[in-house]
Amino acid sequence: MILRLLRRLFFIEHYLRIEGDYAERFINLCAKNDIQLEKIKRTEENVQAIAIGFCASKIKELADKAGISVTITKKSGLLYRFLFYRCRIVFYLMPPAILVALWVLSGFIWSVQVSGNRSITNDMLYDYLIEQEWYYGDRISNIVPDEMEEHLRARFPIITWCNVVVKGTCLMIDIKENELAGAQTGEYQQYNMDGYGDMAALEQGTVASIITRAGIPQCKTGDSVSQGQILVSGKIPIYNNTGDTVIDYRYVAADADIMLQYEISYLNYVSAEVCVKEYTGASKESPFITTQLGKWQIGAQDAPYETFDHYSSCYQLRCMDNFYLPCYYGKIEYLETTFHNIYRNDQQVREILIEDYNDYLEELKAAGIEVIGDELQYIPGVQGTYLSGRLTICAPGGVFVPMESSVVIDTGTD
Amino acid sequence: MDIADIRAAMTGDHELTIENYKGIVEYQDDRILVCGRDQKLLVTGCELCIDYYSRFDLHILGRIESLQWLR
Repeated sequence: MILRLLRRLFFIEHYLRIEGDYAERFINLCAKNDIQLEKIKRTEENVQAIAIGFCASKIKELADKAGISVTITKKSGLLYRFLFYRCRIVFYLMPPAILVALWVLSGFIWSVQVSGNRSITNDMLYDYLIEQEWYYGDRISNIVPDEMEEHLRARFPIITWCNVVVKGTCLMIDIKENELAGAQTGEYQQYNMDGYGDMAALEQGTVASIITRAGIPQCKTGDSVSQGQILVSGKIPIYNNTGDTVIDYRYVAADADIMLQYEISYLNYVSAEVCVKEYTGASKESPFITTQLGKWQIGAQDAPYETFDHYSSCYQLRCMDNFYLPCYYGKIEYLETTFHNIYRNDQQVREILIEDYNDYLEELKAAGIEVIGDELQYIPGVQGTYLSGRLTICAPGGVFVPMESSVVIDTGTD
Repeated sequence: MDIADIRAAMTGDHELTIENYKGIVEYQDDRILVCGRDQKLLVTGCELCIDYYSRFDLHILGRIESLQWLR
């Protein structure tokens, strides 16, 4: 079938009607002259056949030689269509029209690629690019790479290096962020170290360990502290020569690694009855093409099944490596689903609760929190079971509290 | 086996491929006579048509009833 399709694409087929007594001679002459004949069929009045190739003049010559009459009733094939339309003005206008359209489209951005970003999300960058009209569908002439790099560095201070290149119709932005700025910020230490301040307790508990780097510690290991209590003070007194009178204060940004031991609550519920989704195996595919003018989809466009999941894959059309066009193609795959209820017994529910609890412990461990002990119990519910209790954890417990600016005294120079 | 012999391969009673022939002598709806160098092959049947015909091989479709070798 593929060969026939290729043949119809590249060759002309001539449908012949052979009339006369010496059709066999004509057939032999065609074979001898490398003209392949197909679908040779004798009817009551004549013989019909299909000749393949550019052989219209040769057929006439062989027909005269064989002494028969051959009529070409029909010609088919893509190349014949080209020859037919060569007399139409559209045939001559179409190639330059396509070139002009490509030339016009090449003046716009049709693809934006960003790499190297970690803390800055793609959406944040795209929102900024849209504001500046440097996004999908905007003119390439609006983009001055040096200027764009400066604007991006000014807008996102965390960017230390930025490179903007336009290749074809693709805008490529490569950035490098300040990795140290990211390392200083953590879940329990998100504060600005530029100002003076103390470190306070995040929760009520017991100090498990304290390592002070700046400031004066106000507690020691084993002390019980309340939430908000100052653990490390950033106000350092300066004593006189005798050491008994405070003559001045020096202010610093208190910094310490403080681990607090305290309790948190845990609660999880698993239902005995659950609705489960299963795939039946039936599926349908629907290819589509999307342009600025609209979307054309072949096949299932509305809901093909009563309940289904659908996955779509989409690719952007491009002429060359970086010459993207505003045209997308792909396919949507619909998978039929069914839902049914399953009932778990007590044992299965408890296994799920234990599995969820273990996952929670892994998350705490990944966040640097140590679980020292737990007191949990199963509580039967109406249609399921609860796992509830308290966990004793040891976690970073210090939070930086900046001092009020009116409190800070200018220490001058020594 | 003579290198000049006509070669014929049948698939069931509806397909016949012939190679190593010189040409068609007669073609009718119910008989096709193919000649080789030293022999001829007569194919009889009904609704016979030639699916393709070239210098090298010939493919016949239809209800083939008999093959006869003639000298």
